Amino acid sequence: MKIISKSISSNIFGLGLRSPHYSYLETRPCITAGWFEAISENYFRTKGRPRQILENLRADYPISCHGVSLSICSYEDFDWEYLSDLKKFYDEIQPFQISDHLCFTGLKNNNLHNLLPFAYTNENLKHLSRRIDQVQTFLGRKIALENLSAYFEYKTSTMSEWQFLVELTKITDCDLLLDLNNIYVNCHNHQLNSDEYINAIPLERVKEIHLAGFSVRDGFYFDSHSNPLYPDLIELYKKILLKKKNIPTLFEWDEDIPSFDILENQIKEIRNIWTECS
Amino acid sequence: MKQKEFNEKFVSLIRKSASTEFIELLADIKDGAKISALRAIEVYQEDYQARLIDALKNTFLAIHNLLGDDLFHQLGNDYINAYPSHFFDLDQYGDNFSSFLISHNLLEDYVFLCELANFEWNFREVFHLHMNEGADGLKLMEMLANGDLQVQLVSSARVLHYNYQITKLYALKDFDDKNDDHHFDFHIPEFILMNKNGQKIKTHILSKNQSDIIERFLKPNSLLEVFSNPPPTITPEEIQSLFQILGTDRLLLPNR
Repeated sequence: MKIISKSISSNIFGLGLRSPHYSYLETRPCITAGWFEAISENYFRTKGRPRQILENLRADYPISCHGVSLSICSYEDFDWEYLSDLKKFYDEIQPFQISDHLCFTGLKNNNLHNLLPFAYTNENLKHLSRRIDQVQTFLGRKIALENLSAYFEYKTSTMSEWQFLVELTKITDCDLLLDLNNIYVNCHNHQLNSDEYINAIPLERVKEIHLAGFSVRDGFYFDSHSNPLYPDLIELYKKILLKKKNIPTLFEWDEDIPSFDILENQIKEIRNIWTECS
Repeated sequence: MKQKEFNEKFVSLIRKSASTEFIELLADIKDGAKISALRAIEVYQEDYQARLIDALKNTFLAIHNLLGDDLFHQLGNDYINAYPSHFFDLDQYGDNFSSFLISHNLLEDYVFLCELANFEWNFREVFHLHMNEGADGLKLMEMLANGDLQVQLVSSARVLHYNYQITKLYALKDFDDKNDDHHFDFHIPEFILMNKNGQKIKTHILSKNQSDIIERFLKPNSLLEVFSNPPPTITPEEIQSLFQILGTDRLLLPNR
């Protein structure tokens, strides 16, 4: 029997699916999270246990697929075999949302496995617009693109990060995945105004929010996804909630991953914040 | 500098910190309030090494535990410098690790290292395969009765042989008690059948004769052909135990 993927319901709070929690999730526990986000590249070419876990979860929960290797800001041609496998994977999993990052990740023969920034210029805007159109046409789906954490800025940028995102939504029909942790980290490291940032974003185009905890290194903030939510980040989230409430919101933890109940507590905290803002 | 050129030079810089790209790129990026441009590049360089080393650690668990962090990091860095990743999934990184180790100087102290890496890589590959189910014991008996029927080993199984006692060396991945005596003679050749069993990986230690037989089923082959020229020293017990494994774990498929 083919399972049709669930769509997101009133429970808009999700968790990143990570391998240390597989055994626990296999027991089908009663949990607070309403949906899961799977890193596409961890599942699209395996037929082993990770894929089985994902297949089982999607019978009970809506799934969002989040990519890390699209490299949409690359100037090399797409790897069409990769995109083809991704399309097949999406067709099988039927996620309620697909996404990747606004970045380049290296070169075809040398993937740096990192999310690397690009200059906010009109030239890159046009380039991205063409690439987004190519990807969405090929996949037959709209994609949400995530703002990233960047540790340097380009002298050649002619607009701010948020101005670039706004322009991108004007000239393409892609959606946005707003990572508030990345905004917070960038605003701290480069002394930008986070209020100005989120006030500029057209929230009707934001289809998913990411929340995570950063770490501090020599005075700058590092987007490590290795800590609980910081109070300042919660304040930023509240500002979004006061404008728009029902955006699916994910909490992610990727380094020194704790037990599932700690992530569940974070989800409960996020849910309480959401209720407070009602 | 155009973005295309920047991307190429940036990748080169991350891989070789002392490259000429350093000054060129620094001219294009600016210091942040809390992090200088120089430090920012270092962060990406450190991150690159850390991510790939972690990927190697996750696959080569026994080698990591055996060498310890410091030695494994040195070895990992040597590999990263020789082999950039061309994978979309970081988990796939390390495909050349075993062959890379053949010429590495660590092999002088750890002669089994490339064989252990080969075993761990095969373990990873079988883990990600779809489980291909062959004939059960009863069906296998029926197939045996038809000596002309061509049969083949399922695709989710591997036949491996090593010069060293690799399964015992692999068990060192879980070794954490420094007081435990883990010294043993590893200079014993090992013939292994590795297969998927549900979501788990099973390893069967075979005799050389059993391994010779099972290798003949890597391609479609009839039982008549296989046993027309059996290993001269094979015993009925060896044949019986081999077919018990093949039936219990459903490892032979009729070739249709």
